[in-house]
Amino acid sequence: MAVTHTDGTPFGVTFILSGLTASDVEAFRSSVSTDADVVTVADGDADALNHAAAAASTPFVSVVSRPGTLVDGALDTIRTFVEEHPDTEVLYTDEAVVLPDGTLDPVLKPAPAAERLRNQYFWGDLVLVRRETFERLGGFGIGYVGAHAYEFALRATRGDAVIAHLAAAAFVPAAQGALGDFGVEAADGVRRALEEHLAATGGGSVLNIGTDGVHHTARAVQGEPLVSIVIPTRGQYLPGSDRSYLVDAIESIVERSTYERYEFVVVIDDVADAGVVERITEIAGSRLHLVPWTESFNFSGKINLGVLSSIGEYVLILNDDVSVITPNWMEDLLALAQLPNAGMSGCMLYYEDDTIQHAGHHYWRGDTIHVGMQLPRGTAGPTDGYRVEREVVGITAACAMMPRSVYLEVGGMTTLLPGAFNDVDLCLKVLEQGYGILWTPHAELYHYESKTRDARVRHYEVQTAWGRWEHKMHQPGFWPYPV
Amino acid sequence: MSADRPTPEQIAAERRVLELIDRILGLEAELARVSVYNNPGREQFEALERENAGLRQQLDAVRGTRTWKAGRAVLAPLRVVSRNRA
Repeated sequence: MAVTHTDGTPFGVTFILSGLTASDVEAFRSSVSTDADVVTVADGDADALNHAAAAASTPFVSVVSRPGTLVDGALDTIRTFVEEHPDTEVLYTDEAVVLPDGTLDPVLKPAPAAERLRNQYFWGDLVLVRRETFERLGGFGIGYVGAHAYEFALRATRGDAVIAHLAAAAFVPAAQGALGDFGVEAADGVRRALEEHLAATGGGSVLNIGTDGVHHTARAVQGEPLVSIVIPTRGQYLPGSDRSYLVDAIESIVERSTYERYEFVVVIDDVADAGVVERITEIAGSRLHLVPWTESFNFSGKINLGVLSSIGEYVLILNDDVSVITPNWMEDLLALAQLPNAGMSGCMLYYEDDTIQHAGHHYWRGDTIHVGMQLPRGTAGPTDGYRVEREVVGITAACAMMPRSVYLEVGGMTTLLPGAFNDVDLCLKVLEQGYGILWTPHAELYHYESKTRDARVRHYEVQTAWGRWEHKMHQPGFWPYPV
Repeated sequence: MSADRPTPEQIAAERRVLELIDRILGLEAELARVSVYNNPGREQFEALERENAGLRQQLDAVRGTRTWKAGRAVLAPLRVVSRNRA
């Protein structure tokens, strides 16, 4: 049934209910207003669904395969969104679960994010597609049993379809389940869809199909480019100790890393202990390039000097108080940094007590936050966000890989921010130049930065960072949660 | 891995370029922020744009020096490797 927009454009949707029981169909139908038609398809295979979509007379079609109902007023909200965004071809929405007291608890979804999608079908159960777009994209693929919606979504991201997210709960599943879980019977279809998608978008491998909707796929490293690991350091022993974080960091990288084509560019203060320099020279050998720093403290300045003294095609900015956990860490970061239009890639950092220190930056209501901070290692996070490679608005400079060309294009790290917020500034410059930033939970390191370190921020640092970026300090798109 | 590293003079020129690019991008961000929050007048906008134009002139000047061009040439082979995928 087509309903006329205020601008004269028809709006309407045909819901194609797939494989639902009679009572589920009735429950859904009772939640639908007059803006929509409802048809049912008994067996729910792709061919039958494609025929049902072709027979629809409305501008949009939506296949619903999970029992549930529309939220009151959902179609009005969707209609308004489409009126305001008339180019929308594919639209997914937030969902909600019913709490014991009867109120709705929203399940917030991220903005369209193709790299996250290859690890998790986060679009959920209510997706509207323009009928012309559905046909142009070829409808559902045949042979992805139980996973045709996922396969279609992946294929849609590879084309020119305009994909939009309605940040409002529109659907309430009858039973709470993991986001994007298609069930064990769909595992083969999910694997095939992901393998085809990776092959069509630059390569990669499917390492695990999760039974909870979270899959582990990995992008492939292209070639074997030189990675320059730039470490700024004072190069001293810890007070009253013969331990040096720098020595430990370099030792862990040399001993555990599986990627072999890298160099260390250590920007080291002139107060460094000779024993530390001697030890890192022993460990790193010909990989080591020492760059003396004789100026006053400026983290950004040291990184800039290190990058300019390096010769790698990719630079990996690294704090001197880290320790590698996952041997593949450099490959995971590099594969993401090599993606078309990627500007940066970052990793999962843990404190020494196995709580999370960093799972990406978050710019929320005027503040900058480390996602996941101080939560136990293994915490899934909202919509499993700590478990999936995903698009982010920023990452910490404690561990950040970048194409050298991007680093130079954005003017490196600003020396106007010698201590705090220089990584926030760098990330926002990268985003502003049109590059993307990616984060992976599969590259894991310890970061021994103390939870109780003096984190005092100078007034001028706030003035400088917010003077530039105050208007960008609320970006909930990829992470629509407070923490 | 030290045979083809840039010289200290080339690094110094590159540092100057980085700082100028950073200031330019920073000023552009500031202009955007001001326009979002302050509804600036023509004079404020023109002052920021004049400052930005001055920085761009300085950037062009540094990029015109022989030292900077030589430094770029040292690392040029690294930059031709395409990051694009099929």
